[in-house]
Amino acid sequence: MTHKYQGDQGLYRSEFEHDNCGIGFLANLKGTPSYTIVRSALDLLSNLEHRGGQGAEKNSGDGAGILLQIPHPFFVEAAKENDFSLPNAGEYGVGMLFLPTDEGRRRAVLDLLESIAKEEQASVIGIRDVPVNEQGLGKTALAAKPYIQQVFITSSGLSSDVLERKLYVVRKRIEREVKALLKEGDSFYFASLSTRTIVYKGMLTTDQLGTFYTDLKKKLFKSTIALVHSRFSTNTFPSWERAHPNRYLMHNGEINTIKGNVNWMRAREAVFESDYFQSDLEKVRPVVDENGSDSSMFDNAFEFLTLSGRTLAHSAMLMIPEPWQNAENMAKDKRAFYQYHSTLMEPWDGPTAIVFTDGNRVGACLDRNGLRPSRYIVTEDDIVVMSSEVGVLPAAPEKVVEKKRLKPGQMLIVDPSEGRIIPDEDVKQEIISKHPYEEWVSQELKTLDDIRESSDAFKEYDEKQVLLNQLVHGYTFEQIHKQIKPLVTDGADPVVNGV
Amino acid sequence: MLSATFEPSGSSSNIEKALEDIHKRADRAIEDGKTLIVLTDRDSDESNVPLPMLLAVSSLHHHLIRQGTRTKVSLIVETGEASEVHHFAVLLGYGAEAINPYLVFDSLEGLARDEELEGVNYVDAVKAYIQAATKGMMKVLSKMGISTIQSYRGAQIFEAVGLHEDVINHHFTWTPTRIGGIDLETIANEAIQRHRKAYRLFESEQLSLPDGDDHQWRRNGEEHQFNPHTIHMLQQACRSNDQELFKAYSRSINEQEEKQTTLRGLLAFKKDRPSVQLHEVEPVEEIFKRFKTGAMSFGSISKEAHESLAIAMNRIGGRSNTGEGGEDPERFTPDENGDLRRSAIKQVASGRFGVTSHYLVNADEIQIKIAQGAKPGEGGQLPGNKVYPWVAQVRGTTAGVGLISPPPHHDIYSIEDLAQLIHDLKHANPAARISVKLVSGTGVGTIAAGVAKGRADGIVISGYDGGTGAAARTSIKHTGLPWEIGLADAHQTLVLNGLRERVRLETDGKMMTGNDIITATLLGAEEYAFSTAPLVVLGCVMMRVCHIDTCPVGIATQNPELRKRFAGNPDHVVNFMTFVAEEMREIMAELGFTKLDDMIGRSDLLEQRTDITNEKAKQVDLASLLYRPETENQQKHIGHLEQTHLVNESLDVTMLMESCEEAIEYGTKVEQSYPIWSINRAVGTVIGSMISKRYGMDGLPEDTLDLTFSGSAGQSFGAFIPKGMTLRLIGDSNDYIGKGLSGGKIYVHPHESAPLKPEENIIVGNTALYGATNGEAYISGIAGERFCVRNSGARVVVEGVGDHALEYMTGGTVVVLGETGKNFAAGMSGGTAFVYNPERSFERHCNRALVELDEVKDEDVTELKELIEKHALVTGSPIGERLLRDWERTVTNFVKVIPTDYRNMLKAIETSIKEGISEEEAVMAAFDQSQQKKAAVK
Repeated sequence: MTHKYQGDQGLYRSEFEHDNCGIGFLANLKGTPSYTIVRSALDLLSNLEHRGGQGAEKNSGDGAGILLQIPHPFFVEAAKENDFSLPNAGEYGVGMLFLPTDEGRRRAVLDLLESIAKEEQASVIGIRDVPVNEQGLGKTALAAKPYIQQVFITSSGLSSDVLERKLYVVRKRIEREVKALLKEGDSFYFASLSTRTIVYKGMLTTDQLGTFYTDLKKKLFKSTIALVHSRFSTNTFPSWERAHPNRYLMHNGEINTIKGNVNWMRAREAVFESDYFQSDLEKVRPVVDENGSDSSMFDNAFEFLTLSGRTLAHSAMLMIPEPWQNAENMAKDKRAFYQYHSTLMEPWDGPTAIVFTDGNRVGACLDRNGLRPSRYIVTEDDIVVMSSEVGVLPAAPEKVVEKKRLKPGQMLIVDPSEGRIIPDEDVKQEIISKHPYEEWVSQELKTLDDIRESSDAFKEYDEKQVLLNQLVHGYTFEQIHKQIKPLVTDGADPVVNGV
Repeated sequence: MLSATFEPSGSSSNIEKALEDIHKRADRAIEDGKTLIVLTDRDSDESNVPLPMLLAVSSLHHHLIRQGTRTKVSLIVETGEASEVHHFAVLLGYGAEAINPYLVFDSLEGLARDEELEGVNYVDAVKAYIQAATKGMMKVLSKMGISTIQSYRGAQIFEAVGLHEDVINHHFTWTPTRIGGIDLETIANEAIQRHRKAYRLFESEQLSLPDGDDHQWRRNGEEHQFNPHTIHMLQQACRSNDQELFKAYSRSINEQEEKQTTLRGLLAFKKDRPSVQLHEVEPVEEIFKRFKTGAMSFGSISKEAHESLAIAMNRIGGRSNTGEGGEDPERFTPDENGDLRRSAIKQVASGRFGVTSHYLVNADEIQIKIAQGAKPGEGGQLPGNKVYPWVAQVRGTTAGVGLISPPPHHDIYSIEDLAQLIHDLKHANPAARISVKLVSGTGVGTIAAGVAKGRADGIVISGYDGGTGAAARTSIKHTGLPWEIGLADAHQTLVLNGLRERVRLETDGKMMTGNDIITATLLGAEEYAFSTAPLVVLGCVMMRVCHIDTCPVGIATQNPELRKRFAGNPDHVVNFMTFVAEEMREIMAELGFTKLDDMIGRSDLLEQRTDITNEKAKQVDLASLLYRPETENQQKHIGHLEQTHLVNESLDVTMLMESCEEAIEYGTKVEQSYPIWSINRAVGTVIGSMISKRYGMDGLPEDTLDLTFSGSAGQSFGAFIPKGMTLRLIGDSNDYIGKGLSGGKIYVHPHESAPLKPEENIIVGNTALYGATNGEAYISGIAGERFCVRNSGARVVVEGVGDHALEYMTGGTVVVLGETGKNFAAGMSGGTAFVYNPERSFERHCNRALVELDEVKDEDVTELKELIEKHALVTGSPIGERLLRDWERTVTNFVKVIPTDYRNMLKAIETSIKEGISEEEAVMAAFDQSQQKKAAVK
């Protein structure tokens, strides 16, 4: 199968696209939702504008976005205005949808959504046009703008966790089945679909985000946490979807091994088993949507790992492990943990800072080399601000009680329900001590040395046969003397001069 | 165990069948519960031809992924084909788990038997080979920004050049291939031919191997464009100003290009427009403005060669390039005869050698070298034997100590970092054009678009065949793409994004004739750099000994004796440039153009030649290379718009200028305070550039401008500030504070009302003081990762640092009053560090490959104490004060870090000076001594 993307032409391939950015999050440690968090996060975002990018047009940004908790009271009001009513908080999910601008096809897509929901024993209880203010948007951004609606889905009697998984199945199914209904240039994309979180984003500059989505101006829109992102893309092919945050995380950096990771992910899918998904597993394959950016593919995998029963931190440790092979100072059980997990998945490697959330806790982690900046402060009134830069949300010096950074390979979790920041060591220890990894590894893992048998591998040297082989494989005199030999006599790939 | 061979019968190669057969047998083996599959070509014989192993592995790997069974088995490869690091790299990159290159081992046994291995026996040779190959692999990984072999495996970070799409889709799924190419049958035929030839030779009882190498020219080897014949013609033509002879040279080169050594050789100009008269075509002087010489550092080539290039380019109004080795400030002023030895382009590479404020203000163009064509992802290397005292001085390093530029710029790990560096350099010299040199590689077009959005003024696409000097073999041969692809990709992508008008596009990589330049123009370039050709004109005879200081013509050497043989002359270079420009004019006239501007990006005037005889070249499809994107208004796509630089919005211009302008003019003292926040980036840099411009290297008297800022400073606070500037920051700062510090002073400490303990909290971000060359910094708090990397002269006190501090440092003094992260002092070859280590935990954080740990001796105490006293004084550091109060004990808790070679050089110099020799001579004597010692060890 080849991978052709929209926009491929001449020598250009959209798969080459890179993006980078500034990221930040804000959380109230004491778990009190407020509009101030939303407002402050938007201010913070504006101060990251220089880390984002603009294309040929000044007022078409590369992308900006915000992830928030679902503001139940706000949506209760909004539902009323749209003549439907919502069940209790946590008993429904909200989908933030980018849809075709053509009304007929939009209707068809939504019909499909309703019927899939029904097949999965869920129901669409309401749809709401998301109010937007297009003033000041650039030509390119406007031309690419999808129709934006929120869809409210419920399934009676399910706990929030189970409903969350059901929404995931619904989303994966429609993503797969919707293609036949779309024409080129149509959007169909869930910015989010969750009982806990909602994402507002688009092809916007950081300043435009808060004015474009007028919901974000409503005082009733309260959240305990807020994640914001300013994107810098190497291209400006219009895309509203590629803005961050993704559904579970946002990302600053690059995944250099993405092709391998996705291939391996696909290879692994076939042998997945899950108590959580059981027979639904078939419906969520392929886990990774290969049309996405490296960040969104990372998000796909992270989401799946988390929904299939891991904590956020566990998924992060699996995908971005600390260097353990040569870490002599690392505790044995931690090493065993990483060694065990290395047999399940290879690292998603590259300069990376991610911030992730399930709507309850917010976490952040940094690649093993610490190649992206990640600074945070804690104020005396229990606000945590973490960002690619310090000072993005001015705070009086006497109010700041801590100024720290994530160190290479480190993670932290902010848990408003516990009212505290859980430091790297505690987060990881909790996960490591869940299973006897040391025992598993020492009993089950065999190395080459364990299975080596003495044999007569050293055959008699047959000069004629070797020469024949050399001729067959196109060896030349120089190759042996100038390429192979120096690796032994100089101990390194030979240094030569450029042509 | 699966045989990776195929058996041709009659006219059918059966290669496809063989691959399918492997798939089927692997499927069965997996069904049977097997967990290891070995693909082997050991069983090839007269009728069974070995399958190209990469094809076999990748094909099976992708088959198993499609089957969903890939994770149930490991693929092991046993092959006679793989013999070098690149081979291993691609096999692993396409899914192999382990490789047994048995024929390499057999060959080593042969060498051992013939006693060709300097006494190493067979078994040890195999071990050594594996170790060296592994080391080579690690280098490949780190270049690609990948940390573990586990993630590298199957990551297929390659682009195919010359493979048909069907081959890719079936066997190398998800690999970009953009110019089409050979199909499976052609691959099979080639393997069959080679196989038959091998058996013919074998049966003819020829008992030795054929000659041939793809690197150096040999009479019967692969085609090389520069061979003794063309070298001679070019040199003669330029020395005797013989245009006819140049034309003969040019014909000869063009013919060779047609022999399929280059992509441009497959292209022809469409001559369907009416031609114009030669005199109507713009003059050579106009064309010269677009000409540049490539980046070759002073250090890799001699002073004579380097200056000849500069003089020649300045005479014709073109631009020469410093390369990454800095430039002697003496060259910034014109000679008596009017010649100028100053390079118009100042390069900024990862090593930041000699990159000072004064260097930058003396540039017309500042070029950020992201990568060099011949060695992308890898820094330059300058072996110790070429680091003569005068080279070391310009670079701010120690004579005799080898230099490696760190592979990445430590301030660029992503596109927004690059945008930041462009921003910083623009502020360091607002008048200079900022260009970014990218290697022609997969996806370079999208990177170019990002660079244009990062507000670069120019983009250079460097071909894989560019570059001189030394690099590891794997890098030279197997990284990067021809410039034709990268250039066309960049031009097309920029046009598609509406960004082309904002940048000047340049290309380099074996530009040898007017024909080459016109082709580059039509593919989208408006400027061109020449590297190898002008060196040949100056006398280079391609001995390929650039890396060992024995260049017989005095070019790639610093040895004073060899340099006497330098016979080059700027006139010859001028002649060369004139010939090329004239040749271009002739082609322009023939094609019917009077101005180059009208030809840029006109790929519709190129066509793929149909008269090519080579079977493989015939299958290449250059349509995507010649593609012209449709745009709204098909205007000329050339760089004619100015980027919006933000210099005028900077704090320097909007606030600082008012009180500083006069002070700079008259050297009067200024004391001022300002608020600052994170969007104020590169504060102080513009003011600093004004001082350097006016007062040169020496700057102003200390503390002339004494400026205080309160708040959180944006990135690159105080970047490149020269002597005479003192910046005090009350609050904290982001990344890159004090980047390229050039003599100025920076103090950072928390606000007095802040309740937190400075020594326990972070106050400055990552990559602080990167490439600092001179000056002082006192930081009351902890710094992030990569502190003081490539410092070559600054004196710094800080209260804690993250990982990789002092990496590649070559000079200066750093005092750390708290904990350090890991890998401290890796690659550090000069300067001194003092680390406060009461817990004795520092040892395990220090990378001791090049440095020694020592206690603080009497002769060090004064310097150390002075630095801490100043730190406490200017920042009010509580820990500084505490340590001073208990000085007797404090001293015993410090450990001194000093590079071994550096210490030895200092000692040797000191001894010589005591013997009454002048300092300059003492340095030379010490250098000679160190070289003799090294020779003796070898």
